[in-house]
Amino acid sequence: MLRLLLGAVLFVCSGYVGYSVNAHYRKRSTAFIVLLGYLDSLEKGMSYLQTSLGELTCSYATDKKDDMSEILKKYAALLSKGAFSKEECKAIVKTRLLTAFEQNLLSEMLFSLGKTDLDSQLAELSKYRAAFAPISVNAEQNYKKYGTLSFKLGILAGLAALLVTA
Amino acid sequence: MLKDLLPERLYRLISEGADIEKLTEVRLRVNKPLSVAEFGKYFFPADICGHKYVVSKDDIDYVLAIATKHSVYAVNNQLAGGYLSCDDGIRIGVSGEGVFKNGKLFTLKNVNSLCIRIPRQIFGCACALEPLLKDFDNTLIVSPPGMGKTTILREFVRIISESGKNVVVIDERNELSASVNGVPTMDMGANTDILLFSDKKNGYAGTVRAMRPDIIATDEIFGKEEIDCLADICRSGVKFIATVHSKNTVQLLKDKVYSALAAFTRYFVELGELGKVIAIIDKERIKGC
Repeated sequence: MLRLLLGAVLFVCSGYVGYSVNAHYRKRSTAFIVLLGYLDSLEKGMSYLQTSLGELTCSYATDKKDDMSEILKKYAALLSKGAFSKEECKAIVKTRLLTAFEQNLLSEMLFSLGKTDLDSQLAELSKYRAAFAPISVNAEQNYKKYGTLSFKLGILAGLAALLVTA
Repeated sequence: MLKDLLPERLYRLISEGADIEKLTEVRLRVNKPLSVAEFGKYFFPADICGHKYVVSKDDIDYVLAIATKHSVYAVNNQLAGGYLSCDDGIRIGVSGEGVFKNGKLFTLKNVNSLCIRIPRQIFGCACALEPLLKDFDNTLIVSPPGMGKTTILREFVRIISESGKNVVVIDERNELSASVNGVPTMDMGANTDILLFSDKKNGYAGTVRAMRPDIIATDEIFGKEEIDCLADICRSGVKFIATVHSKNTVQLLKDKVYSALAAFTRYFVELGELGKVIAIIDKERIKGC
């Protein structure tokens, strides 16, 4: 009975590890999709009604609950506070989901937003879109490949452990 | 709004040394003492020890970030014009280094001084102009900067509007109506329509065609193009009331460009200090004499 219980515990643990790895890849993929959506909404909002950056960011991120939206909410809070530094911008993008390079790129982008005229701003957005788009594609592929695989492996390893212990 | 616009320590210093309700101007110049004005009287706010506050570049950058709402792309035209319009009608005069593109001033960088002007609604300040209502005709309010032209114009617009005439206000810099999200915070009268942030030329053309105004009101006529716009308004049968910068009417009409205003303006209202009406010149009466 104890062996069966141990097997069940190992199954749950192994499944959980698989699920966590899967969730990491899923969140990463979602983060970049949300970020590209944000860039889209900025392009539209800036060029047509020339809505302020704070309003655009709030209206985009308010109802969303993923990690990138949380970063954007923190960014909106920074915008409402007044002037802010590069370091403050770096602090809000710190997350395990993004690599150091991606964090730098994102904080650089957020810090540069709203500081130039419309044409330069749109050109800059395109530049960042070009930088983030391949990362997003890569993140999605990794999710499909490794995310699903790790979940399946976790379940399989759990089952194996269950069989061995039983 | 002033509280939101200024760094906390600056606002605290000002509110300790001045009556915020009477404040009309705050001037920030890099490495120079902070200067404020209560109804035109300037002084330097100081702390308890008598030290004047020296404005830093960071203070200026803070105000700019708030005033532009971190969205220079939305206000770059204003910046190139040397000003920024904020909520509640606060207008910030901006000076710094000009950046040129294709021979035109494109924007300002390295901003080194700001002049924050706070609008005040003073009910009754235009009662000296009420006699003009009986036989209203094109009117120009003439005075040097800082004499209260905009305050008088705002109040006169309210009076005209309350008398039943349709008034369209071309509020190019949001100084007259002090609107927030398009809703005026100043009382402009029951029959007033306000066109915000539109340049005069487009504003006139659109409103004369679409809003059927009896009178068009606007602030600070500047240059030949805007004078031509006023001439167009008169041709279309609509009256106008506007303000213009000049020491007095004689000086204004001596100018090669501005002398054209005499052809279609009937009343010239001259202001003295603190918006006091010192003369109303009726062109028809002069002709009669």
